[in-house]
Amino acid sequence: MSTAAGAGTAMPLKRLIGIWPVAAVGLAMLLLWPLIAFLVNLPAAREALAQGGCTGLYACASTLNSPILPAPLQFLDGAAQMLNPLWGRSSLLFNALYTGWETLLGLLLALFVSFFTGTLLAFSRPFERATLPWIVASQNVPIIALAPVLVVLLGRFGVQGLLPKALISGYIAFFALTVGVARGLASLDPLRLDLMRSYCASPWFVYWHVRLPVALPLIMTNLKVAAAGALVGAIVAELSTVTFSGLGAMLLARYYAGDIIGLWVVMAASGLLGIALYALLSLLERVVTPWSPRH
Amino acid sequence: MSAVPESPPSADAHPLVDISGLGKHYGSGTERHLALTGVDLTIHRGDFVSLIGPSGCGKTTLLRILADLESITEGSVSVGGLSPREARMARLYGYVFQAPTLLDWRSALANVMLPLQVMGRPKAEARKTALERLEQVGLTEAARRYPWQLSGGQQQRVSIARALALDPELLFMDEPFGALDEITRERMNQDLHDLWLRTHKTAVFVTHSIAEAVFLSTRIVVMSANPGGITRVLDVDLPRERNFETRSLPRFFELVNEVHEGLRDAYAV
Repeated sequence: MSTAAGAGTAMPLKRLIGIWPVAAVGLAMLLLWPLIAFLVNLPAAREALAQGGCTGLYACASTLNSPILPAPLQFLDGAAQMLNPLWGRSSLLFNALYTGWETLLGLLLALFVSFFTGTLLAFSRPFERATLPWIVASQNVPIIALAPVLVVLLGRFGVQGLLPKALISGYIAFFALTVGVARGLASLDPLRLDLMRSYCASPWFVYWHVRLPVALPLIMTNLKVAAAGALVGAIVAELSTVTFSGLGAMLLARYYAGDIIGLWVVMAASGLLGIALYALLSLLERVVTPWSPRH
Repeated sequence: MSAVPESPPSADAHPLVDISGLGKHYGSGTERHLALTGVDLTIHRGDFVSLIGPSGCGKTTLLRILADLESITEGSVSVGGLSPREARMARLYGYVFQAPTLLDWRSALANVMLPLQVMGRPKAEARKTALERLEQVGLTEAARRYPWQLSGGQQQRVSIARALALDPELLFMDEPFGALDEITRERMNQDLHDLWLRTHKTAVFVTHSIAEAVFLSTRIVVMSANPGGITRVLDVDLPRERNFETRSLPRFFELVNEVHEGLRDAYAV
């Protein structure tokens, strides 16, 4: 009783304290950034100074056209340029959300399919024997090789735009989710089964009211793991196909333009997108498994 | 409380549970393990029967057979005049397991509602009934809490309320207080006793604790192991209504000693 009430009030403070080590490391990295940028750009900066395009070694190192590592101000300037206009075909925000949407759609598709395959795997031994090796094998096809084939194949059937990339993204998530669903559904405390048996509950009731809630936390954990892979899948799909939207397309365009600052900005945006996806799914986890004790 | 009759009328005419020549073995051939043999027992309406004995004496198996969670290999069992399977279908009993076996994702109230939902009762009605049951076990204020927010004793109270949800005639309990500390256990014993008196249930109760068995029971079945079977059945001739003072009655100690002796004999067999 006291523990329940105590956990409620003590939690935010505890969490705030828990953030400090992480924040300290982040701050240290931010402070070290200009120093490291200066050091790695030093040879190029010396050359630029010799040519007389700039004054002072530090100023030269922070204003190179194609630095190895952009200085913080260069990076921010590059990001500001890519965010102007904020919304549009060439904007960073638009393309990041485009890729994020692809990934979410892929995860949704994978979740939908894995509920069927996972349920079949959990309840049908013959199905497991016949398909599990194939499901495992399918995960060993490198996505970068598979993506163009899938896009071309789907294109022949008139499937274009967002969907092929979402499919490729979902393809990567599919395995982790199927395993999560199958294992979650199969792991049931024997006493709970006895309990349901004592009520003569129907298999459907047991599935819906007992097995699925037992499986949900595991499925949510696997969904978070799968999200990182699905994001990679979406970006790889964008890289390996002719496409004009998404972070993958932006990466490719910056690469061909030799815009190193732009590459760094897009990379950072990809990282932020991954974190945002994780946060979104953690929130979803809270919503669908509200009974779990908070840590 | 005083209106409760000393012994239920016409008890002997139709025993609620009738076990004769019951045997149970697992496996076959040389792997054959005899869990229970030659068990004869009748339980009447309003009885509180405790099964006590060393580990491996088959007391849990016997309870599970009554609940149709385990099949029999010889003899016959009738529960409420039906086969165990039919009795289960008719929801004649509520079962309290060794562990509370609550569903983590349901509040205490929703856990008690579970059997009512299986029966397809309307939600509002199920809610009302479940609240009544929680009140019976003294947990009204914890209705909204999740199992992890409840103490071990509270969890087992929810489990008892759930077993009572469909108002069954029989209550089967398999060492429900085994994991609790002595103080909580005594409190649970008293509350269970009061509940049993009030609701006129018939209870079959598996336990390891002699004091618990004597305090709660109208009859105690002492069992022995290898193979499992009944060695002695004791009538507990304490007043029907038990309370704190019961534990200090001379007769209480005598009965504890008798069960003790019965258990010693059970080991000697």
